[in-house]
Amino acid sequence: MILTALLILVALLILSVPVAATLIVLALLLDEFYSPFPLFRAMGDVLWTASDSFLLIAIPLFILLGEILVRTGIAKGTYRSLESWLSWLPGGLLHANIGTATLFSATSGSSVATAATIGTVAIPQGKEMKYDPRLFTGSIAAGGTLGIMIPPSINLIVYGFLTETSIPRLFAAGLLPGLLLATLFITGTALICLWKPSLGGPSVSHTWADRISGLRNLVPVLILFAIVVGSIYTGLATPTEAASLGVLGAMAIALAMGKLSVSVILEALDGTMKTTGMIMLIIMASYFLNFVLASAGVTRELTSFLASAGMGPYSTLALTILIYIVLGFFIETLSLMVITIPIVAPIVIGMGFDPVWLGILLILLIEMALITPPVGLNLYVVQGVRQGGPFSDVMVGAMPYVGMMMLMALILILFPSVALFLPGLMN
Amino acid sequence: MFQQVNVILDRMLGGVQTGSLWLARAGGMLILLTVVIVTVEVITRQVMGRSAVHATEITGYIMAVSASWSFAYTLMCKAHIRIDALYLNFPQRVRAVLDMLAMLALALFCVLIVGAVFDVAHASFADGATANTPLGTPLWIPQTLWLAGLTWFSIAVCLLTLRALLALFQGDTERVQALVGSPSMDEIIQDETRETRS
Repeated sequence: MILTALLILVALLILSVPVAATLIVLALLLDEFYSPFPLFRAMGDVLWTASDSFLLIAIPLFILLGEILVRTGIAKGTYRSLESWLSWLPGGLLHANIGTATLFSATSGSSVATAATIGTVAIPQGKEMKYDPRLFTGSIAAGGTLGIMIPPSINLIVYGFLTETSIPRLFAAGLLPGLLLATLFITGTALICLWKPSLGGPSVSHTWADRISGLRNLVPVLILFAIVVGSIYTGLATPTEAASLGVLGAMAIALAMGKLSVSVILEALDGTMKTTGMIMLIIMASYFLNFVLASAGVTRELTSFLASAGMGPYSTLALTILIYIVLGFFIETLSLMVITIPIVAPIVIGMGFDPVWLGILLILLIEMALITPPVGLNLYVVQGVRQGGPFSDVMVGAMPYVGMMMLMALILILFPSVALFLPGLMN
Repeated sequence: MFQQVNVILDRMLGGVQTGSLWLARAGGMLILLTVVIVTVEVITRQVMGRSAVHATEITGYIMAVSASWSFAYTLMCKAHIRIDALYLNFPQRVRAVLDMLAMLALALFCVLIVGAVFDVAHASFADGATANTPLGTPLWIPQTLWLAGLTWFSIAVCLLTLRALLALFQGDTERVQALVGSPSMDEIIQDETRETRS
């Protein structure tokens, strides 16, 4: 039965039936043939519980924050300033790409938006200075993925909502792995460029006066980060409250840059509502599927099946990772999360893995999916910003970073405290 | 006959398009209202040591309502997620059939959801159910606003499905694509990068 259900799921998805409809149909089929009592009757109430959420409203708020921030044009100054600090490293501007992405991730909850923002600022400069397009575009696509690891992160909110894991703890857990991954990116890039200098570009040294005076460009973004993430870490505000304060902060920046106007706000709202509608429809559907899977005992069934097949915790984890890597080639990331988490998370958590840690690992795997073809959205976004040149440039350029992400996954598995250290301090 | 029906449907769809945009903007205003409510809540908590507004409860309702008000707009932007890795490789005729399947599935989804949600809102009204909070909000109020958004979404889905179905019968697969086709990668990217360029 479960196998049939999985086949139906895959068939509907391949036929490009909307994800939300697929999940509801699957849930109702499982209910019809599997549940001892009709769960369908509870659907309205379950959907209301999923929608009436003080927690989820953080999602549109974080989206709005990003939509406003993008329109302030602040990325340019940030990039220039980080360039003056980082471009002495072998690989030059490549490090500015990664650094700016890291900083923007700390205010933006979306990887695609981060990659698009950095790409718009960086690519013209890379072209002008005749950088090898491969690693240059690859570093932007990869750096952009940090957006969903370093808090705030919309994807972590979705994970926390579906698995009932504390969002502040998840946000705390994402910070160190995110920074470590950024460090890996920078180190890896420097090593590659030491080995083959032609893959990077000229290292440029800036004067200290230049660097110091550039720091003021970083101040707005850092303050915004302090408001949003600091207030959550210190327990002063819930994620939703922090997001609201963040929106006000972004508006203040827009005002200071002379970009705040009615049309900017309306555009930002339109973009926010479009994305909110997209995310909420599949979250509602996934929440109901979650409910059916749990109530009908499918999760229990699957767990005992895995146990009887001789799968221990670590082989189950390995299987999970493999599934995510394979599905990540074909399925867009948010859908990947809402489709798999109701099935995978209860099983893996049931085997004794920490839910917060698992969230970070899954986010890492999803970041990888963002830069693996054929459906790595970040690759396409960077290619789109670049306009011209073969797509394979971006694909090849992102490959080394996929390797570094795999290394990061290994580190997370061997040393779970990388993720769990900060949340542990919150007790 | 087809021609006349199409003209009427196109006119109605034009109305739905405008209506959906403004409904979504109304939802957006609610999100801005949330920013205000929550900020007031944070400030009063810090200054007076207690909350002055019932932010948790009210913003929860706002989430449900504003999300449901955005669904139709997302539909008009073709932004409801479909897995199109394979889809984009098919010839236009096959894609048109898949588009139809997708719309019919979405219509089924709407019928199921709106039915279930209507029952919830109706039961809340009939039983006089109130939220288990200091405010004691009668639940039918937010639930009806929520239902309204989902109903508008369903109307949009049904009209779009009908119009696309007629186009398919006439063999106008290009029209089907324009109405309900999954946007190609190029379109998505243009959309994603447009704002950062401006």
